[in-house]
Amino acid sequence: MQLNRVYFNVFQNKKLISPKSNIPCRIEFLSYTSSNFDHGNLFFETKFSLENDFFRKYLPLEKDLKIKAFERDFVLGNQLMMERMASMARRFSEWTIAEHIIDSELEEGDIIIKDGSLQTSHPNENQYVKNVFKKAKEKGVIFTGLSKTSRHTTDTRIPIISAIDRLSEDFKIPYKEWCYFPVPINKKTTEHKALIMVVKLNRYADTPFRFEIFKDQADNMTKNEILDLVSIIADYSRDRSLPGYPYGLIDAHLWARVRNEEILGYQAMLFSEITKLGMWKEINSHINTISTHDKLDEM
Amino acid sequence: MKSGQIVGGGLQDIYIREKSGSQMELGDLLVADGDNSDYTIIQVKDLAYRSQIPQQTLDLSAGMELEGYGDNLEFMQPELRNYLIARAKALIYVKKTGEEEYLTKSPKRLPSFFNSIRSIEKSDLEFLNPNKLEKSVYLGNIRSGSDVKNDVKVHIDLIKSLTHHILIPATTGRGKSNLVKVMLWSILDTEGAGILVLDPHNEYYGDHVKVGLRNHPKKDEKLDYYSPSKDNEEALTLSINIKKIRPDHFKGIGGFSSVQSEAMRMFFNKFKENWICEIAKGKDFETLKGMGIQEKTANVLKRKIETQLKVSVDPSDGNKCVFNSNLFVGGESGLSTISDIVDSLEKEKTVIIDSSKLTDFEELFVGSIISSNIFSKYKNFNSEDLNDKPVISIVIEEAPRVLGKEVLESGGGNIYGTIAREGRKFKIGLIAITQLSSVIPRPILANMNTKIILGNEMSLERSAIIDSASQDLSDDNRIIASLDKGEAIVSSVFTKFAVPIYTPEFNKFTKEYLKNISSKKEIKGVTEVLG
Ligand SMILES: Nc1ncnc2c1ncn2[C@@H]1O[C@H](COP(=O)(O)OP(=O)(O)OP(=O)(O)O)[C@@H](O)[C@H]1O
Ligand SMILES: [Mg+2]
Repeated sequence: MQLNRVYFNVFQNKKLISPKSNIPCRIEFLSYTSSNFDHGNLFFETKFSLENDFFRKYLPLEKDLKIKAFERDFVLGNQLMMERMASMARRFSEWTIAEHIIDSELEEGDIIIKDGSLQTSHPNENQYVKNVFKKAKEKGVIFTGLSKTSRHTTDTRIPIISAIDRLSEDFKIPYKEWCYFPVPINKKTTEHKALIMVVKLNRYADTPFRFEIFKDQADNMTKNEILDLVSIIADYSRDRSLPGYPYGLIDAHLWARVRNEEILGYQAMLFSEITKLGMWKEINSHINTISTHDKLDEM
Repeated sequence: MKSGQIVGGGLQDIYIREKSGSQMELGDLLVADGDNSDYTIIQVKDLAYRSQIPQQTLDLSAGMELEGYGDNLEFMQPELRNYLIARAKALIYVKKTGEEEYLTKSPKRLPSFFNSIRSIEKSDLEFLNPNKLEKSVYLGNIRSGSDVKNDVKVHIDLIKSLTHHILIPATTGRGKSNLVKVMLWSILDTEGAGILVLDPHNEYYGDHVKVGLRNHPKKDEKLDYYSPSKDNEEALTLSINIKKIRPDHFKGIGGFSSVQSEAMRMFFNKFKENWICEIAKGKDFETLKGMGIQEKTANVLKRKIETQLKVSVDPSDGNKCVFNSNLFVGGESGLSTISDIVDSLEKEKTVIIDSSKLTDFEELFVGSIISSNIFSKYKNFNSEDLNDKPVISIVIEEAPRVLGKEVLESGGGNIYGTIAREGRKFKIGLIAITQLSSVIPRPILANMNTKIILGNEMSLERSAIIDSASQDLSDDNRIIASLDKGEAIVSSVFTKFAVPIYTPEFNKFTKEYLKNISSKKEIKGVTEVLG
């Protein structure tokens, strides 16, 4: 079971503005992922439990979350495999909600920044991404993503971000804020539909970040246009609490983060329901709660 | 308009997040509305910074700013992330139960969580409306922080408050005299009180230059002014015939030992009203022995009479008594002064005694003579008679001169101490003005049932006042320290809560008053009576 929370905010002229439509800034739902054998194949299935059914229209279809496990998934082991499958609900809903946001909240020339990479990692995810990108192109909203970490490494296995950061120091580049692109990617993952960049958005940033622009859009932009785009984001990345990281994402972390006590609350409810069903003993031994922390949660 | 929202706390402390730009102040009165035409009045007791940004980050970014690294950094949404939290306390719960009918309670319930908070308005204070109390003293206008609500006037019950003493503590220059002037002005407008003012700075009556009580329209009927100085044309001459002085008037005043006091009584018993002159003349050993007085004691008495009352004898003129001041005189003059003053007080007049040219002793002694007279007179009334009599109040500056622990303990008490302790039984009270409350014994402080507390920067003094106040003022320490000229807190058993007020400057107040009178206008504004 997973508590999913997706949040967005809209800033204009560096001020937070309220949504124009009735789309909620914070969409929250419980998802339940299970594995089942069907004709000798292992399937993962996810179902939603919504406190507010109004949210359903912002979410992916449950049928798209039914996935057959492949050989390479088994390599992960049971636990990780489950986590990966369970994360689909949130990942997919990020795309569907993004599509709604572009549709009802944004105008031509606006920029949307997704927390994380534009890369897809699930079989059915592509279709959702395609839909969002299509919508973005139609409306002229530039779709981007910012990742705090990157799995990309150089040939010598140094993380690409540190490599470029080091490079910038070694060459004493005269810019306090800078970006580097294109970061070449492995030919094998041509699926990736984004221009990958490394950006240092503020002189006081501890680290540069990986920044992506939807490839179809980036390809139609001049170098200066790309620099302008990064500059705009840099202008939003001057907050003293975390220089070099866009403020909208800081704000989003604050509102989207799931606190441990919330999990414990849901856990208690779950236990109580299970107990009522007389299945507590049976299930308890299988229960393993996971709470994910990242650095921002400590803010 | 100040506003905010309750975000936490409890009955002791309610925490309010301030809407940015509200500029809440220490002492501000705020209102949390309830659902059923009820509300709670709360008061800001403290203010603090809060930030959603971790302190470390704040410290670091301040450092960067200071050390010149602050370029290209800012706070996004500063009004949302950095803000002020007010710590407040509920003063009173009010429920409107009908047309001009209110139920008030000391707050035992909390306003609801996340309740929004707003500035107090005139209508929120209507529950203080007069309960058909015509006799009252005006103290000033309601004040929320430093914001004065000029249309809400604060009065206090005249008879009750004066009978149960008023203490006016403050450091110098905070407006004690100004407040008393305003109070006396308003008392001149009412009936039911006779006030004796011992005025060591000659600041209450006024003159051609300075506005004073003499400018009051009722001064002819209601105001007497005495001065020992013969040049003061507006004043009646304050001279007291020594025949009217009795040994017990010296009680606790003038530093007489018990042996000396006893000796004075012996003189009085033997020589009756001439006793002072007889002391001045000196007696031979035999006479003294007959009276049971040592020669040494008689000599000290003689010297004291000479220095303090300025009464001596002229050996060249047959040892005739000589009076070296205008104050204490012989012959046929000054015989009625004391009874005139007592009469005036009984006729609900205000009697100001200019004691600016008098020594400390002379001032307190004159006060003692008058007070003793009125006290023994009132003491002999039965309760029915007393009911018809006006309350008598004695205004005394630097009250520790007569109410300080030391004087009360060493001198065996004085008439002022007696009034402080038991005056209320006989409808006699004090208006004690002081910079030092801490030297007044606690029981006396606690007996002063109305305290009009003005600014005070001495923490020892604040503690003494707070400890003896009628309401729990433990949270008001800082507020009292920061009160400006004329700003005060009225803490009284006769008020529903400790009422913050601002007393207008006397000059402005009287100018306004006289202007209203001359244009025959009613004095506008709702009059609020507390009590
Ligand atoms: N409410 C007021 N508004 C403005 N000014 C005031 C107010 N009250 C007093 N003042 C001014 O402050 C000064 C001191 O006032 P006041 O003499 O009443 O103080 P005090 O406490 O009696 O001082 P002291 O200890 O010297 O007797 C005076 O100049 C007076 O005009
Ligand atoms: Mg004074």
